[in-house]
Amino acid sequence: MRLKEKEILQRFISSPELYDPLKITRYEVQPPVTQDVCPDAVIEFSIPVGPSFKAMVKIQSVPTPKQIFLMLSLLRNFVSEMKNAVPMVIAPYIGKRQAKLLAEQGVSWIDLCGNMIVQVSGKIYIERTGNKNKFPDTAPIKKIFQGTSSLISRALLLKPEGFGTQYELVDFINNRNANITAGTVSRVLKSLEEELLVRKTKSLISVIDAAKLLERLTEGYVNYAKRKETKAYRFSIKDLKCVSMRLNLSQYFNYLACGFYAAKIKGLATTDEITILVKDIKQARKEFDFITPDAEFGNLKFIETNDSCGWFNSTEVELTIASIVKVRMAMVDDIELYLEMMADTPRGPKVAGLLKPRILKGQVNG
Amino acid sequence: MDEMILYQLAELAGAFNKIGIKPVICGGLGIYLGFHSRESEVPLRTTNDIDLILTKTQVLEQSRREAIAEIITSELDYKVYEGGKHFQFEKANQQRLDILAQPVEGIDIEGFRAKFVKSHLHGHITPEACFIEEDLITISLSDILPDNEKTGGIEVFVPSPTNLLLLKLFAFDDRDEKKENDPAQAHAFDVYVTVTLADRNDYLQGQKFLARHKNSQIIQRSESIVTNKFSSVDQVGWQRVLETSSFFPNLNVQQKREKLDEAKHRLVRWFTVSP
Repeated sequence: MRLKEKEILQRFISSPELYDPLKITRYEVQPPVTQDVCPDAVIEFSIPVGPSFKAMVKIQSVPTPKQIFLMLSLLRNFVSEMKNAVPMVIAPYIGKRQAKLLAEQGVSWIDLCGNMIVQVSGKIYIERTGNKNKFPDTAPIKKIFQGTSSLISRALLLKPEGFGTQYELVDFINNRNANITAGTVSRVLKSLEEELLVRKTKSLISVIDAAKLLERLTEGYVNYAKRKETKAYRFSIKDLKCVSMRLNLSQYFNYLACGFYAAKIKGLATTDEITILVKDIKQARKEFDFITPDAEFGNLKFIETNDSCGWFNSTEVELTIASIVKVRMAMVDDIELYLEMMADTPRGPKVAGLLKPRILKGQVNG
Repeated sequence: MDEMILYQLAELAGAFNKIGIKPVICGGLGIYLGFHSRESEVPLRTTNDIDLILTKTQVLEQSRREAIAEIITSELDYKVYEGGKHFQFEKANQQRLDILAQPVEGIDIEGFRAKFVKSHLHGHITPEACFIEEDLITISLSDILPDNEKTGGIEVFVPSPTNLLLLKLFAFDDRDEKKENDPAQAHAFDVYVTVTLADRNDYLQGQKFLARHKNSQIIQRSESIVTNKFSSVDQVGWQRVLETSSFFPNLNVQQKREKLDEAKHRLVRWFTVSP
């Protein structure tokens, strides 16, 4: 349950352990508005046998980066209007990114989880972080970088010049081997806006900082990769060319070259293994009836997954086998490969480093 | 791996290369050299000594034996280690060198020592190294220490993964029988690292090797060590690995057992020689 601003302030005032070693000597809720300055509270803090200061407080029930960003101008007004006052945010929980934003602007903050950074020029500096979020409902976004929701970020990276409308974005995704609804796109875009990762105007939806968006996408993918249901099956085969030949004959896009094998095809790595994403291992076993199960030393790995994101924007490649035979197969795109490589430590991140500049340039057919 | 031991190796190998010999390095350093290019989450064990094994080909001629002794005791100024005459050496800054010996006919033997050059250079006889010269892998030290100009052109040999496994299985068994837990743990850990980092080609090469020597007592004993000590995660071999603090410290016991189970399957299959 989300706390209202009044409840946040009540809890704060009645829990001295949250702001220890500071003590509250006086506070005023909803003080009179003077010109543009309208803090939610003015609180006077002191340190026993030490300095004291007055804080102009804004309460934030859901402190998203966007909310913090909007609040910063208000807090700056406090400071210019009321000399010697310290701008301060009080919230149920302040995450790392929000804390960084506030620190950059010299704004103090205290949360209801016992974390705080309080800085009073030349007098006080208190930093206490690391307490976990006891109010998960206040987390501004959930899983927008995982599964189908992640496709919105991927699409925005593929087309950094942006999309004219939300429907154009939906079509862009659905035309690339994926299935997403307008409702999901709308919800995720709203969260991306709150995170200051996406700019949305009447005529344009575009990424603000592609590198940051890719970073967040990677964090989400790595966490998701640990949990998602995938199962790897190894097989051995004397001549790996037979696999490529069969892939050529198979139904297009049932099988997807991925991992280091895809990196090898893209000229970024070497490997003696073939790794293929499959949707149904039973079907794969039927079609590849010439392979032998070999859990210990197999050189062909099928990864069965019910997550269809790997297929998003996948491309067809033509390989020349034994110098003369041309075969075609489907392969993950640069972004999916980048994410796979980032999760495949310690070797993968080096390959990901080679892909990153290509992704940030925004190549749709990467 | 501590760079000091790599510089010690470069000095030793450089001197050996000058007389036309590539030193064969086994032990923890041999495993490091053999697998350093296979980046993996598997932690490689650090070591503070060089295990040098002198092979039949290297010590067949007396002049070569004397040249090797000259390099170790004079040119590089290693001093014999008290209690390890004359197969354990040490020089400044605790740079240690242990000499092992492939069984060779025509060399004087006393107890477990092969006396290559009397009162100068001995080797600890290692019967399980009887096939050590097969499938040796050449390692260029410039790949290991790329920033060091002095390593250019210097090469060493490391045993094939199957020979490394043979050495480590026997070493583990020996220490385990003597109830020497710490060294047993280190050898079991090396078995884990070797069998996990080996790839399909190593395995296929190993199968040919083991088939060639399937009637050898050494191979038969290695199979029995695997059966008796490494064929279940609950057996002593893998249990010693589980006790090692550096074995995936961030994983819980169940996850560690899963890693060991994979390694167990690979090792058992490796040492199941087709009739």
